[in-house]
Amino acid sequence: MSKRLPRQEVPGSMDDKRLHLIRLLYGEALPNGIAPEEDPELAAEWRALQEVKGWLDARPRRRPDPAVVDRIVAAAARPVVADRPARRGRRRWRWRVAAGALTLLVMVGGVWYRFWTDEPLERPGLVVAEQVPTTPEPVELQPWLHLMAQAEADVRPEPPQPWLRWDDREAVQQIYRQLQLLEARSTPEWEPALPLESWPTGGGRPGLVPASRRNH
Amino acid sequence: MHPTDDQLVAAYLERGDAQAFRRLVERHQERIYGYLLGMVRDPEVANDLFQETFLRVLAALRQERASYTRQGRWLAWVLRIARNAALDYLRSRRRWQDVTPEDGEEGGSFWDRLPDEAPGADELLEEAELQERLAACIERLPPEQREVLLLRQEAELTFREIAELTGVSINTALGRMRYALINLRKMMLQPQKQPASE
Repeated sequence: MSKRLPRQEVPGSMDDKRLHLIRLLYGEALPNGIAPEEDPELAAEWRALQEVKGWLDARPRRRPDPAVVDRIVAAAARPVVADRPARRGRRRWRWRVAAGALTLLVMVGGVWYRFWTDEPLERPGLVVAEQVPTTPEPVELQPWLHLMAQAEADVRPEPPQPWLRWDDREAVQQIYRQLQLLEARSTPEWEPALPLESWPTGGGRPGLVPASRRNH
Repeated sequence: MHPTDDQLVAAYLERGDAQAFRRLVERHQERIYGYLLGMVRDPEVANDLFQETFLRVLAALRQERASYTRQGRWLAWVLRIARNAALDYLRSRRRWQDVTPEDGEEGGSFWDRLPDEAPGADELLEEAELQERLAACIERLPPEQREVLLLRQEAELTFREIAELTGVSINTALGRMRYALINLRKMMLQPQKQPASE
């Protein structure tokens, strides 16, 4: 039902005593009610109402067709409980799908975070080529770098990745050390060079011997 | 042992006891069917509406959030569904017309709509005809008065329950009942006066 009947209030002239007669007629009178037979104003209406109610009470009670009741009971006999577990089962199935999707999402997110958001700049233990100092570091830093690289290697025993091997800090350090070693070896720490002319040319002193004087 | 309505409802819902539901239907069938028959005045239609009412009841009970809260008001709850079914039918047949305030509770304009033909006084003495005429007079009552009369007389709802069901104050329900009875008496007595005046 979409529309309610408009309300029709009882006119204000309606006496509470007359409404009380209706309650009294149907056994719904409040305590300390009036006695209509003793009130000359209400006695006539009371008798009239009783007469009509007598007609109404004499009406035979009607019942629906028994076949209708049987059809209703047959419809009721369909298992009530069966509907609810079915709904619960569907709900459980939805929850499982949702939980599976969430788990998959977390796994994909983890993999993505592991491999795609691990930028080399932020990854400990890696030094990009741009970060390698172009000027030779002081030799005193080498033990500290070595210890740090050693500690990080102990903490993260991950397999070497071929595409990152070139940028491995230890390798860079090793190359750097080799470069320093070569530099150190290639730089002679000799005394200031003597002029060639000052070198002895004879007299048993070692030095350069002119080719014409060499004894073959 | 006489189980209450709520106990029967519980037996049906919790154990699937269809016989408990049958007892519920049979316990109140006269009240509900009497109300529906008074509303539509057609036994076949009343049977259909009776079945429709209880199919709606079953559907409502099988919902997890059923509107019936088991407060000892099973009949009032079912009658609300029956009323909706009846009003749906009457609106579909355009036999239920909303009453404008000009129609008045006093029934002044209503008397103008009464048919002229009336059975003789002798016919009223016969019980069968009396009942038939009474039913015809109930049908001629203004809808809001007829409904209150049927809900109280046939369905045996209290006036407070009728007020809640129809959405009016209890005094309005009482007033409608009073006018229904007075108008019914006038209609029933009117044919008797005509032969006497001739």
